Amino acid sequence: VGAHALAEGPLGLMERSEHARDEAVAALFDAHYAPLCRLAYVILGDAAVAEEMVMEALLKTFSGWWRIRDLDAADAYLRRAVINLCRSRIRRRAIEARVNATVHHGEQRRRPDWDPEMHETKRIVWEAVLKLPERQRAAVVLRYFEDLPEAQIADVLECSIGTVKSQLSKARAKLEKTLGPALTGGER
Amino acid sequence: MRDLDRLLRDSLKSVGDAFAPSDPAAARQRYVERRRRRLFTMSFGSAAAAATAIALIVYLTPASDPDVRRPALDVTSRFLTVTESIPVGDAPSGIDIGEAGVWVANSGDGTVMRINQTFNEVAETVDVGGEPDDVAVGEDALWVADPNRSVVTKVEISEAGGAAEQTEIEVPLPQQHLDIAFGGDAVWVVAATEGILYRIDADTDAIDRWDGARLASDVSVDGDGVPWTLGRHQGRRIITPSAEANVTSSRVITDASGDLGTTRANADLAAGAEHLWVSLNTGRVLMLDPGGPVVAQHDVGGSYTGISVYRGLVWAVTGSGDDQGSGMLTRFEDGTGDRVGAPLPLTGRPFDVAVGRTGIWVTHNSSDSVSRLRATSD
Repeated sequence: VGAHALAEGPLGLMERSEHARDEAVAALFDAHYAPLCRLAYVILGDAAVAEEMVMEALLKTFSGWWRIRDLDAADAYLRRAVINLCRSRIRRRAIEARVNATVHHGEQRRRPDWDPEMHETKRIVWEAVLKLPERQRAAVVLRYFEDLPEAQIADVLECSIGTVKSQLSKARAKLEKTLGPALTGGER
Repeated sequence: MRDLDRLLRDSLKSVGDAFAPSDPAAARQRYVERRRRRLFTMSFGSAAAAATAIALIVYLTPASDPDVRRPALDVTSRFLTVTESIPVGDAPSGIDIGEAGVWVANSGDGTVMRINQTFNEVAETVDVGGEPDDVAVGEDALWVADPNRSVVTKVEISEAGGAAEQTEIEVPLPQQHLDIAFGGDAVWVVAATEGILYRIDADTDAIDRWDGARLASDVSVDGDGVPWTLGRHQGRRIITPSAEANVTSSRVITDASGDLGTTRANADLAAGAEHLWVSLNTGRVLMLDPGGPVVAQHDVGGSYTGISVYRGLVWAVTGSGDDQGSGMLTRFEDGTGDRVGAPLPLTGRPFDVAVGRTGIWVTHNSSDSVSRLRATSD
């Protein structure tokens, strides 16, 4: 602490320190917000909810200043927080859907927000991924969108590598079944 | 497969790369403000929480009673009380706990029921037919054993926690008692008459058999996914581990040197983190080192039994088989082998017990109900 800081007094120091923290936290936000939004969007298929999940993940992860010290691990922390929040959201949505299904028979499920210009096959593939159970969906997105190896996926999903392998295998089997025509180049 | 990998990679990257958050600058501002508010709330919340925690510790510090073991887990409190009695189907037998509820096999009406743990009521009934005797909850599916039809029914659990799709898997044997357990990405089934251990792969449903289990009548999977079987060899009960959850190879048979008795029926095996536990139809509960010898035993009475392990505690439910259907639930510590607290007398022919994060659950075979229990200190 220099002479200038001492002359400034404790309140001034606190303010400066608060300001520096806000700046640092905002810089972290800038670095991570967009990539995490993309990850959440690919999993959820809902732009507004994806942004809200990322905001919540950033708030949770960086609420305590002490957690920001380990900046090298920020990527892993944030990714795990986003995935956990997205999985909870999917589970909650599934329960809501079951309840709604009993109340509103025949009401159509909300379709994901996709770009009308998107290639038809890619849209079909994404739609099939969005129908996978939450853990399989998260594993598939981490593998094919984030390009993570199985060990890192296991770390994010907090399970064993064997479980990741079995979840990916189940997901592939389901997708192959669903995407038969798209895989073979047929029309749907 | 390579086509699918490429298709997934191309499609998901295309979706993600095309997406841009709506207004990052506004979101950044919102984030900074929300973080400041949350930190402010947290600083006051922490002080209040600390005060509450201190008050609770003072309030809950146990009296100096040497018989009472009362570590952090509330299920160790001295007295057990039935808090809920939930009507289920006809003759409930096996019970297991899953993420979305407690699953019960009703052997009298061919159904399996899911109990909602929040509302303490049956949330779902799945008709599997036959006489389902036992259930095991896996990661994505429920496995139901029917000894009379020699069929294991796989019920896929939906992402919301309910039942989705049923697949019947036939265990290739005549009528047998089947004991069933899940662990190590597989379901393990014992067919008692021939004493063979079967492994059903949880992903592919492929069945392997292992003849080395030596007249096995019960199976339990430990925390490493290794199945242990309780069986018989040369007139003596034995416990056998199969190596690394792989039925095609085996380790040395652990012989309990006759301490487990010689009869075959009505015994149950549970693999704890430190010891193996066997409850016998003679009313004895034994604790064994995984290496072999019996290191503790207790007489709890009764003529049939179910046993379960959860977080270092072993729970044995025993029934007397009398007209009143009386029985007892007794707890032991897996580390020391000591009894914990006082046993709880039960009625309605208590049959099986499952213990998990949400409490202690017992099936009552003659009163067609499941009771939920909690531990109290007075």
